[in-house]
Amino acid sequence: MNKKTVESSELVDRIESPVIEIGKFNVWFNGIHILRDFNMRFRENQITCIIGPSGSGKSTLIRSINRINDDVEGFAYQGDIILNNGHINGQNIYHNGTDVNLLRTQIGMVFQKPCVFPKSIYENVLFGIKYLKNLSKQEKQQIVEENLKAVSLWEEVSNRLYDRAVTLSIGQQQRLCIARSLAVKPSIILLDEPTSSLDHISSYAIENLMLQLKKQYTIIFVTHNIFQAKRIADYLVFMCEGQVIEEGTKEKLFSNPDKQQTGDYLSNEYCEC
Amino acid sequence: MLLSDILKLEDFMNRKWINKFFLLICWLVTVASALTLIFLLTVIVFNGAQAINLDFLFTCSRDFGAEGGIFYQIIGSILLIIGASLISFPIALGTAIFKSEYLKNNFLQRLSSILVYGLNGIPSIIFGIFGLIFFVHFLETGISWFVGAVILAIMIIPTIVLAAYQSINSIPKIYRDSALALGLNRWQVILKVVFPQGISGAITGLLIGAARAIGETAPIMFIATAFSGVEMPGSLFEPVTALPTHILALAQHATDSQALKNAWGTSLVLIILVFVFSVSALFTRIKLKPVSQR
Amino acid sequence: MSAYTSKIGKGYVLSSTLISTAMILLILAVLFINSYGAIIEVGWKLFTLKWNPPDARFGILSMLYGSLVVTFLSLSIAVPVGVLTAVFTAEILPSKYRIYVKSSLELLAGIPSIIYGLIGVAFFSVWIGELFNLPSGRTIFTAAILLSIMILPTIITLCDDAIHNVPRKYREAARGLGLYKYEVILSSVLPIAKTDITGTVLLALGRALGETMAVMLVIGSIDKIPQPFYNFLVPGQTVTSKLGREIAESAFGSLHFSVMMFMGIVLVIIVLSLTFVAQRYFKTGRLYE
Repeated sequence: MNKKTVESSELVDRIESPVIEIGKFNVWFNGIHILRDFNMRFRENQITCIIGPSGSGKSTLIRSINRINDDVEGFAYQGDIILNNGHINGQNIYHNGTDVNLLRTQIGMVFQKPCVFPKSIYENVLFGIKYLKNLSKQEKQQIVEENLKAVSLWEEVSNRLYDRAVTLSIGQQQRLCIARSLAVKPSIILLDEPTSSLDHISSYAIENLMLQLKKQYTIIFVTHNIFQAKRIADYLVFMCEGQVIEEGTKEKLFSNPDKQQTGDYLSNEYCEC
Repeated sequence: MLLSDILKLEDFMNRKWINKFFLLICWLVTVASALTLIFLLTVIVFNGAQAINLDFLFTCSRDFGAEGGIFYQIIGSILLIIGASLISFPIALGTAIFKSEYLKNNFLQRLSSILVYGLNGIPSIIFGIFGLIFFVHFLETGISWFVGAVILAIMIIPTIVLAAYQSINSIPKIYRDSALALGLNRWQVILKVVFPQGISGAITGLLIGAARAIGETAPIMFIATAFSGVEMPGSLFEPVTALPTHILALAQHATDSQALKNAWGTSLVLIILVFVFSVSALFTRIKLKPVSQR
Repeated sequence: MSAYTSKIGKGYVLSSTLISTAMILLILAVLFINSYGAIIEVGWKLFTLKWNPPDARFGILSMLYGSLVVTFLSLSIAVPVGVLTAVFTAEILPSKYRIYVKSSLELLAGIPSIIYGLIGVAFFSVWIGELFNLPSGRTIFTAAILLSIMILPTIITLCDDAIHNVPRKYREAARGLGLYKYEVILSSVLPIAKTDITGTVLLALGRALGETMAVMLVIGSIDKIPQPFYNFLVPGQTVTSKLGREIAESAFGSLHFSVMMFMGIVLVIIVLSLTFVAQRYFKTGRLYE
């Protein structure tokens, strides 16, 4: 697989209303304050990278967006997260009447460790979507092909769709997980350090995939790898200790950050918050 | 890209109700299980408490147990357990040490595991039958409490071996290596390092085994116990009377309310003894935790 | 510390091991030797229906049928109830209550079987007799119900472990796709816990087959297959209850005794095979319990 050179992004200062708007958001786990008065707006169709040292709350943040923290014991929150993705408009996702399962079909999540179910590749892709709609055999075939092509996995597995998914390499498994999420047709994709378990080549494959997907999806990508952020981000958010230290375009933060800490972290991976 | 092109809201509502239904079923079934099991405990405690008083505990039984107390039954059960412990402990400990220190061949390890732990799977009545044939008839020991102790010992050996073996296995290699580096030979290493660990594990296993053995009826009912006229066994080779077999005898006369009452009393005493052993096992498991895991 | 002591030490552990490994073989051998007479003299006629030793009729089919029915009936109650309860305790119950639940289950699993027998005699046989208007409440059905309650705590606790041990990431991946809780459990968690649950069921099967005291007291001890064969509200007999009741009455060394031993060895072989197969299913190291 050829390693394509990653294009440099243009200045992205969109004027349209943000897809996700986080306002004064706080999270506690068993009393420990993880996110503090977090404010952020995520723009459509770009890759926003969230960077920062371990324990800064990056995972907690994106897990709050698709409300998967709700299942964790000891979770408490305060604040709003408002969604504007065309289907849910202007509504706080933590509002009482929100259908969380519906929400999660609109926000795809890719985890750090690839998590394929003990079924065939074919069934894995269909895992989420089969609950949403009664599909004919033809439709299923089409969905599987379409989404595996979207993650560049189709050529590699088209002749063994019914093999068990665990026989794939780790990099392929992660792409399968992405295909599975895409099949549900979300508008936003959240990724929590998706390449940290993968080798270089698979990582690059996923990065390139993101660059293609951003045309159709809003991508929020958590990473602790600064070089990766440099390669793929349009917009950067630097977090530390549960708060936004600085945000801005990739160019700005790397060449001329406002805050001392940002510069420290980006050059030395050292942050004293 | 809109969600509405791939689903209808009705489908979602349907799933919501199925979800609620499923969770409700789980909840109801759990409540049913819990109530049944609570019923069990309550019945035993409630009925048993009515039968127990100091008199009951310390006098001996009369009239085939329909009258009187269970003093000698308690003694008998305790005697059997002590006997079983004394016999099984050294054998099981030795087996566990051999398995972990001397048995290096993989095949032999698995074979010994199958042979020793397989004993756990044998139904308790088979132990009783075995004891009857081998000891009472073949070796002509007659019905005696000693044979009962031996049979119970055989029953609990696997439990003790497992506990001791796990305990020994958790010793980090560094302890053995240090001892060897100091010039101790193999058996000295075993004595100083492995034995203490093995003993604490074996004690836990013994208590777990005792909790099980003291409640067993089938292994001892043919070979160690008699139902009447038995007091303290005068020697190793006389029969004894025990709690579980006493309950069996009384249960056969369930229409007699006094017999039934005594049966409940005996049951409660038995459960308390089982409980004491189980809790002690838990206690020793924590207290005698291997140094390496503190 | 001389080489002599070392030798004694080694002798001690070696002989201990020889004793404990030989035990099971000895037991099997004793049973087999004593059942040999039955195999030779009665042979295929063992598998007939009529049991009447004075008449030299040694048909054990009724006992085999009884064991089969009681076991499968009790499992068909206890397994669904147990698995659903385990789903509740592992997935729905907040984790702070788990320790109470687990300890209670262990306590209940430790209740001696004779006490279950007593409860069966004092309560269940009475209730079932009254409920179904039977001459006697001691039936195959009663035994099955009692047995299912006996094995329930074990099934719950082992299945709970099986489900609890499924790594969290599978649940989260499924949740992240928008699946409802029941869909997560059915399509993601249970398939992964399936092997351990199967092992549990096999283990429970073995225990149910081998259970003597509780069954013996409530099954009614009649050596007949019910007419019609599915009427379980009549007394019956299992291999274990037969052994429990009649060993004392059969003369040692007689053909009667030999046939009983034959039943015993059949029982042992089946139970040991089940236990052995069950171990192969447990992947999380819950071995040999």
